[in-house]
Amino acid sequence: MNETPASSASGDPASEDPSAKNHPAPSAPPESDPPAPAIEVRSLSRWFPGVHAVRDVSFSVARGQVVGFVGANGAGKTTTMRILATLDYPSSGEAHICGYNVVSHPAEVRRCIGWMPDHYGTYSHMTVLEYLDFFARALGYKGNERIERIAEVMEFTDLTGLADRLIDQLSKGMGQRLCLGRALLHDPEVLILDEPAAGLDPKARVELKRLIRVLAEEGKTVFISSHILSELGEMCDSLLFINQGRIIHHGSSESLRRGKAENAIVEVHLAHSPERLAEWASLAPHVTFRESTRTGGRIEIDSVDPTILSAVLRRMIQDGLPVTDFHLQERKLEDAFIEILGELEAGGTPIPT
Amino acid sequence: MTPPPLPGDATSVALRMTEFPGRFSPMLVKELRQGMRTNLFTVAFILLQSVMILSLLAGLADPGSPVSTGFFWFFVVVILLVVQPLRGFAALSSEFSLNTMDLIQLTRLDAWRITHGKWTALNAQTLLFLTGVLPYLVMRYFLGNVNFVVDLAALVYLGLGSALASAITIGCSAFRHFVLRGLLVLAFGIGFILLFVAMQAMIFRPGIGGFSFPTMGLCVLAMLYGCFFFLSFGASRIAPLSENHSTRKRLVALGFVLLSLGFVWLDAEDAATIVVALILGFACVDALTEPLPIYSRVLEPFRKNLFLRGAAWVFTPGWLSGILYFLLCVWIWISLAALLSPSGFFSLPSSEPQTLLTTLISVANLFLFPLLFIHLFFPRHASGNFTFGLYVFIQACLAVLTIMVAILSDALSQYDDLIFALIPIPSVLLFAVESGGIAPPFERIYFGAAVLTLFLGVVVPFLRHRDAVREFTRNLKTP
Repeated sequence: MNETPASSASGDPASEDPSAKNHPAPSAPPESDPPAPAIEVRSLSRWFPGVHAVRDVSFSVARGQVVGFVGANGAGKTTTMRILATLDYPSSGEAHICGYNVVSHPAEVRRCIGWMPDHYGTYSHMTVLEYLDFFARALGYKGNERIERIAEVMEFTDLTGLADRLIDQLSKGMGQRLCLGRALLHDPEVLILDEPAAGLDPKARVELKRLIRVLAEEGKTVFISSHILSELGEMCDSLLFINQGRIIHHGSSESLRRGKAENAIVEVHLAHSPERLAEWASLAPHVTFRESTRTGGRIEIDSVDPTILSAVLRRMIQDGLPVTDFHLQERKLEDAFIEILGELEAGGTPIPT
Repeated sequence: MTPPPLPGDATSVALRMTEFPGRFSPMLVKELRQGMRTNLFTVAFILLQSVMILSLLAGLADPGSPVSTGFFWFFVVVILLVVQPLRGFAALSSEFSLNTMDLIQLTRLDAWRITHGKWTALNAQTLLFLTGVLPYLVMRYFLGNVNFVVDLAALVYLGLGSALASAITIGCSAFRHFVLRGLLVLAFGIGFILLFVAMQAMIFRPGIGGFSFPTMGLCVLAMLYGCFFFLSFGASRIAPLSENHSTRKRLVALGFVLLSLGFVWLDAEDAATIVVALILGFACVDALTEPLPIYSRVLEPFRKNLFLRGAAWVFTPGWLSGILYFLLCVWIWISLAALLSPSGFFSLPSSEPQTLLTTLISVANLFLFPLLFIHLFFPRHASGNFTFGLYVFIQACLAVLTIMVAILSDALSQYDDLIFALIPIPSVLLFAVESGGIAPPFERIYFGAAVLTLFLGVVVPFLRHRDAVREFTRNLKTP
């Protein structure tokens, strides 16, 4: 606690919105053209005595995007997310949510965000309904508006049937839904979810994924961290990799799966006569036969351009090959992550952001 | 057992959440809902009712018997002054252990509303106990040999005591470490009992303490400040850096000092001095041990003009301004002593004002000395969650050392001065002044030592943390 956060407290000149004092909805963000990104982080660092948790991190997330935040334990994910949620302070650098500086305008930032920590906090001797009611009151909702918000959230998270259940009797999945419901009570524009799927069974995980997808469709910005990369790949528009406090990759999951490869490996299945694939590949341009499988084989196409790939498929069909399946063989995201880490350790350059 | 879900859509289910009006503090509503469901509350309530019935039956058999009266009051005292306050022992720390403090801080509840809400809820439950006892009090009156007004006053007094004791436990519950919390509750608890019993003696036994309305008024004032102090003490320990609780806390303490001084004109000079000393003492210890990091936004209201920038050096959070606030309190303390002396102590014969000044400065040094020790030997802990615990620990060690010195000087009376010189701490200096301060050769040495300690106590922390001082000055000028 020796550092002085004041040193980094350079805020926006955003003025306080007086209406915000009486209404829980986020006040209007500072005027800017084009609109400020949902999340903007510039040269953010955070150090504790003896530990440099976050080092010079910069990234930005456009409004309405779903972004996955990936890293090993202790990589700096939670520290970064806590700073974005105004629960911690940067030692240097800046972070903005919807145009508001997290240090100089914490109240405005809090109205914009819904925060779901990795260890969701709940109370004993309290029902689901009472829990939501407490947070709705604490967020400043009164009268009918409070009732409406609670009802909306219960419906969305399918908690109506559990309204009278004591919280300590909920399963982990139900608890996470409750926690998500709490984070949504004030209808925030940006959701910051720290490991929401940790410890959930597959059914609860699918349910959570569905809820996040619905939120994304509603235009909310979702910043989500998880260890399960394949799930993030399906959900997210882009992925941020963090390692030892530094951002090592920011890009789409497709670019990650493709990696630096200039050739595409395609797996082809045929309805019958799998040996015809090798024969066809030896005559076709841009194509090299790699290996055969029980129902076809793998071919290498000397381009990753989708138009060339579709042209190859068209030609296969025109040449009478009974194609039943034609798909790109991509790297798993986990492999990509490990590969990037390996490149970094070897002193190579990671995949450009 | 969980009740089956009631039929209806989400809106009709949510509509059930209107049993508490919307204007009630969210924390109060939450704590009441939770608290009244705990086994401890239920068991204590049933137990108290059973004991009341038993005591009433004993009273019926033998009206006015001291056994039934003792039985009655013993359980009321245990429930109100032990059980209820101890329920607040983990009030704030549990929010950390349950990982809910972050979630609450993201709402519109600031640390004061969190702490105050918890305290109000505990008091509301105490009120339930008190109303549960009231019918038995009336019935005892009908059985005879009972002064209903005195009993009612005693019940109200116990209620106030319970409020103060609850404020102490809730304030101390801001510390997450169980042992530290326990020790603080124990130390403040003992202090509370001593003060409570002394006040009780003053209010309810006129023969012993000299009952007077001004004294009673001062007692109530002291209790009110006590509640405010411990609640804001807890609030400022759990508050994020962006919240400023110190300015209000320090100004309120000065306000209470002013109110207490009003009682001087009501012939309660001694009691008023004690209350002022208590208020200033508590306010100073708190100010001296506050964590330093200053959040730029906290300084915003102080940047407006020169006067406010000056006030920032006394009223903003952290030990840095705490030291200057302490100096302000010392000045008030010495001025008060000068004013309250028969004709002002500076007009007394030459040797006495100096001795009195030495004593007053040494009393002030008692508060400052542990801080000097922390800044010299534990600079890393000068501004953090451990500062207060460390301060209390050093203060306790110094108390033990003083007792040892007293015993030693008693046993080796001819080496008194040597022993005092070897242990240069304010409490020993006070002891030395007491036993030999009037003697001319030592008078100036003691005075010099007291002033030097005060000077070092103020200067050393500033020198040790020059960067922090520079940072504070810079932030005060520009955001």
